[in-house]
Amino acid sequence: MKRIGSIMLLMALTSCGNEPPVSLDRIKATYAEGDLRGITMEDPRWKAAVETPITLAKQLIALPKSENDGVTEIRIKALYNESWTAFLLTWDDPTPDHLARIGKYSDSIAIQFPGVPGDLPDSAMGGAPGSARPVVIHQWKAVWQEAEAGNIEGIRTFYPNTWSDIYIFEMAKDDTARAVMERTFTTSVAAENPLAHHGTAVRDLESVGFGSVEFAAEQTSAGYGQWENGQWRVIISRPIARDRGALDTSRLFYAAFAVWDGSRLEVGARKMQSSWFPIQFVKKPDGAGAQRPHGSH
Amino acid sequence: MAKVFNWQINRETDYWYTGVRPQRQFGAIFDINKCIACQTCTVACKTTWTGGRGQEYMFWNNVESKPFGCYPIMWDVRILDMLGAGAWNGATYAGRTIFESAPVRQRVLGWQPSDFDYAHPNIGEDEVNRPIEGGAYFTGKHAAWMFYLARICNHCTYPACLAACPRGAIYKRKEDGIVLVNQKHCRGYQECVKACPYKKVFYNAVEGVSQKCIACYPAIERREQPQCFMACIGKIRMQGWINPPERIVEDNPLDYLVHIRKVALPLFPQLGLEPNVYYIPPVHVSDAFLTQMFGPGARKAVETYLQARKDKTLAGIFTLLGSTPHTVSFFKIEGDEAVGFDDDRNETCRVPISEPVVTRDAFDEILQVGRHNIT
Repeated sequence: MKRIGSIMLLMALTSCGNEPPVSLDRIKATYAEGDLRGITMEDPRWKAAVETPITLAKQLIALPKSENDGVTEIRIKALYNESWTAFLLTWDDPTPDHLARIGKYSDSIAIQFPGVPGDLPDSAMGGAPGSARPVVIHQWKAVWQEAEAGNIEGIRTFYPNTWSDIYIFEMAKDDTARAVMERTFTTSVAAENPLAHHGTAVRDLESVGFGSVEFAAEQTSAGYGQWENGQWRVIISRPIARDRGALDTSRLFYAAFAVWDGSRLEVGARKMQSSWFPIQFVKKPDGAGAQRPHGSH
Repeated sequence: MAKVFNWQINRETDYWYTGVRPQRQFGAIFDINKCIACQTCTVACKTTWTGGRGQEYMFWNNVESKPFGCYPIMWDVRILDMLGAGAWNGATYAGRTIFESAPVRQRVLGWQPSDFDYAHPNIGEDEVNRPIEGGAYFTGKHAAWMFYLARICNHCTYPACLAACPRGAIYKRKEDGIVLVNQKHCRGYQECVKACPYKKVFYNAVEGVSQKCIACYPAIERREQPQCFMACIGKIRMQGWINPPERIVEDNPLDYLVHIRKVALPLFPQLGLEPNVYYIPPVHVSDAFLTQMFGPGARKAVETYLQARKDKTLAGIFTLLGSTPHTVSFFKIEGDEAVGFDDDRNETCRVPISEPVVTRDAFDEILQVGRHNIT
């Protein structure tokens, strides 16, 4: 714990003085046999997991910044085994924002890990451009989930009472004219913007400093979210091994978290975030996993 | 913030990036006095570029009636209200720009429109500035006024959209100064939508990215004018290149109209973006309104324009508006004709400054019929 305290102090000194306070509580990842990639919220294995609340604070380093606080606390459960780890993230949000539209933003949550072994990067997306170190991010967005489910078809998704004499995108999907229009006018698809391909609800990103986040070539994470009774519950699962951002379950590891509340106009750098938070992979009864003090990643 | 020089307000101003002017700058002249709001430009743009899903509400080109028309709703009033009053000391703007007024947590002073704000593109259409009293009649000068304002992206020298994008996904092309949203890197944060005071960047909710007027750059690269220019039946537009005052080229029609004759003016120069669409102000509108909209040179521009008929050079350039599909890089007055040239000074059009008038007899002796139209 003394070593962790030193790391926390170092992080506090090196992060522009604007980092949120860091809890010395650990997230305890519980060992769980079987498939974690497709784990559901109803899975009984979550009952064995310890829930840890962590505090979030406004991102205050990079412009633009939020005017007001968003979600200030999330509760985290974690499971892991030799091949996968899964996080169940819960937070209060009375207004679910499933879609992003003009002037409206989607709810979202992300987990960030160090991208390469060695010293911890700055928890703010890896740090300031130029001196930043890589981080890996697994982000869930409500709007991505809607897209994955095929719920963002077009204008009626946003304005159900739209009326038009002829609307080419409501012609048969195999209609030649429609195909031409879609190919011609969907510029983000032509430009190969990963957003336009309507992938999965959880996506892997990489960043080396503010403003540099990009979709990773390696897309492996999974998960989904569910809003009920004023609360979002989101599962994000990912493989332990990764070309970049591999986890070492034999020692304390670190993760940072961020939440965007669409109703509070949070998007991009306008977000609530944590600093690095220690994750302890609690060893299974036969000794797998370890709790060695953190040395270097 | 860096310091850059904005010649339209005649002083240094704050900007998010250091000022590097492009090799040349896309520019345009719009003669407001000739616009009839037929919206042919709007339709030309719409059918060319914004026929996709999520683009239904977008008008990269629109024509609104001033003083009350606005798309999105109150785009100009809102930013002017946020900016507050700012005086001009002669040609120098003494107020604050949207960059100098940026709130502490933002890069640019701006506001976020909602979808409702785009729902009435023709609001205020043809409405005049004041009620017409009963019994009013025309006495040679109208008691009320309105005019049509055609708008595209201004491809500003200091674009607010570009300054506001936290991802650097908006860029200004060095070869022509056209401002584009990188459709691969945009993540749809809408910071550009919020920052652009002219509200000429739009969010596509289906694609999840922002999109804007691209000045028809494929046409520009072929030395042709954009679609909205080509389609303009009122011939109010001309596309060319605008230089900063220290690099004026006298036979560049934009430099001549903007810098030398000062008859074409930028839209809301006090915002600080150095917009590059230049308007010839309407001749029948109050000075106060024109000064707010086009800066302190508005009255003089109107006076110059009203004398253009007697000025062969001015009249000649005006005849080139809408007379050629080609970018007008240079011009020349030869006798009673105005001639347009491309970048290599190849002639691209030749237009009579005054239409020749032919008078025919009222009765055709050959056909033995009377004529209704003899000129």
